[in-house]
Amino acid sequence: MREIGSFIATNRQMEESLLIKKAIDGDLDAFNQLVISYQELAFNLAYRIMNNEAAAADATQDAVILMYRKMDSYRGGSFKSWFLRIVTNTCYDELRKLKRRPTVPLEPETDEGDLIESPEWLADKSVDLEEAAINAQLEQAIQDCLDQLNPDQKTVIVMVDVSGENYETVSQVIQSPVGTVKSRLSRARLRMQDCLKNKRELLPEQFRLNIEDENV
Amino acid sequence: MFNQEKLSPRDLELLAAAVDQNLSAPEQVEFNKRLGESQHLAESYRQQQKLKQMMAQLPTRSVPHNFTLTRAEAKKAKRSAFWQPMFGWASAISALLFGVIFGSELVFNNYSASPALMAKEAPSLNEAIPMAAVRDEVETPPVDVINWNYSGFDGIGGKGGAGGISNSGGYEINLFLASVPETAVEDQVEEIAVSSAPLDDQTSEAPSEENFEEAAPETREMPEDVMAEPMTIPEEALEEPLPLLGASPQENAEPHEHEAPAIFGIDPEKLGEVIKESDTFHVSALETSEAMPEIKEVVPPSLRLGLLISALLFGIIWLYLKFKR
Repeated sequence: MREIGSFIATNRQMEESLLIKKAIDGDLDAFNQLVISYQELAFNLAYRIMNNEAAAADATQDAVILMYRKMDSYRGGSFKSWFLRIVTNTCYDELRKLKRRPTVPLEPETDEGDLIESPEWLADKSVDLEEAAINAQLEQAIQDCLDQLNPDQKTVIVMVDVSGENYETVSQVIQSPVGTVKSRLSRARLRMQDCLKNKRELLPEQFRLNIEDENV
Repeated sequence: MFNQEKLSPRDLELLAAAVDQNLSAPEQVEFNKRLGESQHLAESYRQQQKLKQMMAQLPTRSVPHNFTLTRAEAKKAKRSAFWQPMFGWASAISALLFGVIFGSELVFNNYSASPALMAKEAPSLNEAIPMAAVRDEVETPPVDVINWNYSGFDGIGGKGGAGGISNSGGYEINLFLASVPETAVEDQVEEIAVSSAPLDDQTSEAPSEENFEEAAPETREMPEDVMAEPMTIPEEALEEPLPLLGASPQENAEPHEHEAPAIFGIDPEKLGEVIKESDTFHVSALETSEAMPEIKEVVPPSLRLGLLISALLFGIIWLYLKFKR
């Protein structure tokens, strides 16, 4: 069984290498196949960094265009890491632009100025409303805390804890040693921890972080 | 409040790896030991495990649309990939060229000795004639200049004197004779007499440093025959052409008419008499630098302006291509 899994992985790697070679030679279909393989991962990473679906879509599209232009400069290694690095860099650029030119969201706001979210789950009748509400609260709380991190810490924690990438991949994406990934990740988690403690009441009970240590 | 400062960088690395179950065997031992020592670390470890679970609960967003490229988009992307760096390089090169030209002209104009500056500085070098005396006579007859010049191997010869700066060894006397009262001229005779002795006398009998003070009075007393009669130059010396200062070797090689030096001594009876007026120097040059030849600009202003405009234009296009969607 293990051998079959290894065979599939090797076969997939070979297939990817072939697609990469074709894409470098200018084969657009091969390039698009590569994009399809990683677009969900790329979009979700962009979404967590940007916290805005439209901006994340724009950033991902820009990253794909940039990747197509720079296919010649691809020098082997993990294609996924290379693609995700382009995506994160594009997101940082977009965030810088947004910082310079803040935009006004079109979503309605409450009297206190908070956005009235219109999550997708409201349209999905098959999902349990209560569960969906809990998930939405959790997601909102986590995303708020993620936004308080600096971009480097955000990228690391999203890639490891949300996307489930290993340290080596993250290390290639942020172009830093694994030791840096670990310490950055730890700091990001500690800051998230502090932030989520302040939002304790908003979290479902099973996810509430203890505050006993505050009195230590 | 939880204090993250109490955790060392090593603790942070071990903590992250432990939460992700990525510790090696020795690291696991080290981490277990640290957990026993630090309650903060133990609490952080527990909470971060919980946090990781929470983060894993975040839903995956489905992509709003495929991010694949159409043929047209791909073509546009490639074309843009060609032009953008091209405009970037063009802008950079134009700016560099403009900077080099502008910078070099700025440096040369400020630090090289321009003729106008030399002319302005000449009177100040000759302390015997105060600047005010020259300026006072600007409106009246032009200042007469006598130049007695020995410039290294140029030999002895009179040169019309806009000079004042000698290019080589030797010595040079510039007399800027304004129409000053005769008494003033007489006061200066003694000063001039010191250096108006024939060259050979000055060079061969130059006192050494030790007995300079003793020898000085002797040199100040000029023989009467020198003072009374202007020196003459042997005819054979006149026949041989002398090399010109500042002339190329080819120019010096060609025979040319030699102008005999006008003065080789000072006749007290002819003091104040104008022997020759210099064509190349006029006091108005002291007032305005327009009379002096200006430094030629190697690069025409239109080219410089063109480079500047190109740099700006290409830069704007480069920025537009870079930031447009």
